[in-house]
Amino acid sequence: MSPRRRTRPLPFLLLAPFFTALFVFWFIPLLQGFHLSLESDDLYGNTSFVGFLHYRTLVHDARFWHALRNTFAYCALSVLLILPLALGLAHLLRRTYRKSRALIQFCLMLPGLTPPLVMALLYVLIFSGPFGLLNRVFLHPFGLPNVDWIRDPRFVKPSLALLAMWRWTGFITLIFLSGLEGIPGSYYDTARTEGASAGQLFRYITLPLLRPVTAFVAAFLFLDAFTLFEGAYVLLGGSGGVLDAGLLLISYSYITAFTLGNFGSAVAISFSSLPLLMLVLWFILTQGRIRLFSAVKFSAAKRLPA
Amino acid sequence: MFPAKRFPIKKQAAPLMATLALAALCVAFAFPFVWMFCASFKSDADIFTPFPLLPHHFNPRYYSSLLDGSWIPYPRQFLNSLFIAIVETFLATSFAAGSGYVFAKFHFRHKQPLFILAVLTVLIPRQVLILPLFIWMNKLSLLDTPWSVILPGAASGIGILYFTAIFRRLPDALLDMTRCEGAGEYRVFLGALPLVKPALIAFALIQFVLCWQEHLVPLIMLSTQTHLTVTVGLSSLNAGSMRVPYGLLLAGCTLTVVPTALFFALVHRQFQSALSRLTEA
Repeated sequence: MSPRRRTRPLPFLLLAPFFTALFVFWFIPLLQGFHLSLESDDLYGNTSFVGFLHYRTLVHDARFWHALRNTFAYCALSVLLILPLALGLAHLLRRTYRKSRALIQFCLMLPGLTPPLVMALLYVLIFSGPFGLLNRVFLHPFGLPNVDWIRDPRFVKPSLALLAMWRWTGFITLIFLSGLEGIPGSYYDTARTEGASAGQLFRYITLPLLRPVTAFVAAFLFLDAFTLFEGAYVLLGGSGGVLDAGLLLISYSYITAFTLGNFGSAVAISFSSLPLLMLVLWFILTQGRIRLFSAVKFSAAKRLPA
Repeated sequence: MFPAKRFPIKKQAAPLMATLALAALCVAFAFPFVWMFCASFKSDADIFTPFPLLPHHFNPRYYSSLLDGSWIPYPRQFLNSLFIAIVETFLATSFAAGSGYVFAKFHFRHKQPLFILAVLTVLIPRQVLILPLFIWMNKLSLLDTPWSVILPGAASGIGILYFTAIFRRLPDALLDMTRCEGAGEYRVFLGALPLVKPALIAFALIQFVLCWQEHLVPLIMLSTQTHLTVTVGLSSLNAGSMRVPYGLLLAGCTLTVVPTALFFALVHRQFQSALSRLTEA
């Protein structure tokens, strides 16, 4: 047997498991979900084809638009909170605190290693009502009235964003730190000999070179915020909270499916958010000049006999 | 080398401010965990008085009542979580590493559309597909088994992007060297794996942490008490109608941090080196 013949099956053997899993547990549910969103079922489990009825109802559903706005506001808020903080921390940690760095990193990482459910529970214990640690330790001794941080609709979205920040800052800092270490020190030395200030170094060397990392991280955070469920679930008990201030798309879909028992409409809710989600992610990734579809364009790849 | 600039006040104050801010942030981030750990040993009356932090005497009664399973089958749920996280991590890492290797090192027909398909799975996360997935799992009669949580997570689009980038950085000359010595393609692939070991570990760590934390998928897929994962079990304990002592809840929460924190502490050096290698220009 010639070596050429032997090379052929391997790539397909390696690709097969991934694409089988993708086909069975991603593609089929996607198609089925679309089909499901075109159907309606009555209380007796009889389904009938209703076309795009669910989608058309959503257009006039104020609660859906509210949830959509909430979700994107919360996603954007958490990304905008975390990115500057993590970048600043990484910049600070890069040159200084050599000895205590491991400890600092572990402190910052600890929330990221904890299930969000546990963090949400802790958050409730710290922030809620008269028993909350925050009210007890900081407000009572000074004679200030209780603030109900969780039930007050003004604080719900910031609370969720704060949870996301608590969870991800350490992890993102670690990624930025690694990104910073990948930038050759000679760039900075050259710029410094030409008299660049610290601000200029940051603006013209660090930021542009970190662009792909930043875009990747932003996309990751956005996606995570979008799919986060347990924070809102624990904080608000699976509902939208007072005045629906914390109603996210994923909880709205969950309520519609499991509380109201309307599967078709619930799937329509999650599917109609997809184009917008994909558009935002697409925008973020292209801003970072991450070429998603460039798998083909490299010459060194070994060409298989066709 | 360079003449020191003379800003006496700024030079003194800025690092001090930075250190103070950093210390405050670290305390704010880590304090709830320290409190959680200490409070889980305190008596019921003292739980919500945070200071003094340490309990008068360490009373592990809630840990023992968790572990003997008198409230919920906690040890069983903990093992379920471990099983799901380990198997899912193994499958996702090996699938993604294998496919990433092929995308980076081989050229074949329909490569572009396949790659785009893999990237699309990143843009359409499985949490959005959860309801049709639930019905599909029901048809496959996998519902309420660990596989209904593991298998949807086995195909990781981000993993494909990551490992394609990683293997692209691996010089072809290294692979050709093993080929010259008569190794088959299979051996060449196996030989390439140790060369990207930090990347494998980094990906496995992230995957493990995310699996361990997953809540929505097991909440919907699993229903029997003894089949639940530890996060779902704890949330059912919290939301249930019975009055659960807070100490018990805190003890359960404390234990969930242990596996991921251990994993991170063990591999954090390799984790960082893998990440910086990826971002190198």
